[in-house]
Amino acid sequence: MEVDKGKGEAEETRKVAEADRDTVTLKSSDGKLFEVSKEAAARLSTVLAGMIAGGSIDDNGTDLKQIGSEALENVVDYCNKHANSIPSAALISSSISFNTAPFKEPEEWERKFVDRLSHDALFDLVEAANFLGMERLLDVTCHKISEMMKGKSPDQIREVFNIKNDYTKEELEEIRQELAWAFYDD
Amino acid sequence: MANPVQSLNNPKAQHGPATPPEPYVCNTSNRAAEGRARGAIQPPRQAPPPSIPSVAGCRYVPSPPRRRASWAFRTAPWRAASPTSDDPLVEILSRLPAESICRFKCVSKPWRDLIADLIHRKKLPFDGDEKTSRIIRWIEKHGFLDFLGQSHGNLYCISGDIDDSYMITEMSIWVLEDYHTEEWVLRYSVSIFQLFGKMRSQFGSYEVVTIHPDCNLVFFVEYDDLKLISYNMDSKEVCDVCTLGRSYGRITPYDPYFSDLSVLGNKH
Repeated sequence: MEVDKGKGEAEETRKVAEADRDTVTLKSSDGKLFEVSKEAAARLSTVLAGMIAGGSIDDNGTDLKQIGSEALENVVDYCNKHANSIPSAALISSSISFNTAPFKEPEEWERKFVDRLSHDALFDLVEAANFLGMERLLDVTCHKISEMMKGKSPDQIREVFNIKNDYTKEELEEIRQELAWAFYDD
Repeated sequence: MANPVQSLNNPKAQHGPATPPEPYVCNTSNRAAEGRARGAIQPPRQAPPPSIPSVAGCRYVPSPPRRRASWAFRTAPWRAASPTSDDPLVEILSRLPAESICRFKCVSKPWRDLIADLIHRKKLPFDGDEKTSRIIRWIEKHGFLDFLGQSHGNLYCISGDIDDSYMITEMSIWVLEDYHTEEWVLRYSVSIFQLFGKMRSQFGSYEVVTIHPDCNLVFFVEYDDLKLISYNMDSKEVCDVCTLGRSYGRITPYDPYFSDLSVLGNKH
């Protein structure tokens, strides 16, 4: 009898825990599941915060069909690392307003986090961060890409972004003349 | 968090045209086959998820195998190929110096149009002339740079030749007539002996404090007796203007100040 009662209590506790879990499960476009702390998700992503508040989180895995598993893994990784790092005043203020708050330099761990990514993964992460409304992650990834673009020629940019040059030779010469000042070495 | 639903309004989603949110399948997705399964996102009632610009020709396309050598080998063009004003590319561009951004107008016509539009709407950190700042180099062989100022609407630079004992022996006045060529043109050059005479040049200590914005006049302060001295570049005339009550490192010329002292200009 005593044992049964204990079991019942455990069951009860488990149910409560499930209803009030401190993680959310996210499902990538290719069906992989990732767990992330609810607190971090709500703090770092305006979209996830809205979903948590609106009760549209699925315990079996909230479908994020816009985000591939690799990008989602990076998102979750970022959230976990972020939760473990001491949030500085810089991060808190940068999440208030994207356009008016000055960008705070990436912290050391954030720099390392984006540095290890391939170009494709970095791009996908930008898109995922944009989709999920993760201002700080978007800041950090965009910063990294802009660093990569600095000092590059239009040719190099076309190559990097896989963009077709749709100028004629004459048009290109004309616009280059116009922008001659921007073509000094830098 | 006071109202998380309200905070759902992604600031970025609001710059763009008010298109309804479109599902965007990026090339990482393994197709939308299982994407319609149960548990799909139900957006909260009041606020739609941020709109994600669609990529032309990129929706519902089975993804070919990925190669990961560089961006150049992206299997589908990033939205950079036809960027929109609420694109992350805007955030990336806004972190670049004006020179880079303008140079990237040459990348493609959509880029040119986007950048021109962003400049026009002041989304990028410079004005319509596309030049709020630039670097003008000083050539060291022109001498030790002592003073930088504006006169006759041009940038003037006064430099000095220094001897072994770090005394300035000759003063040169340069003007940047054409900002594009970045060529400093030598206007006047005068030896310190000529300027102040042997005695004063040996024992006095002088500093250029300003240049007249409209006349060919340079002003010095002689520190020993706090005298303001003017030098007329045309007549080569040195003139003691007045004795200052105290020492000035620099005097900032501005028109009302000098128009009050029109006597000074006429004196020469």
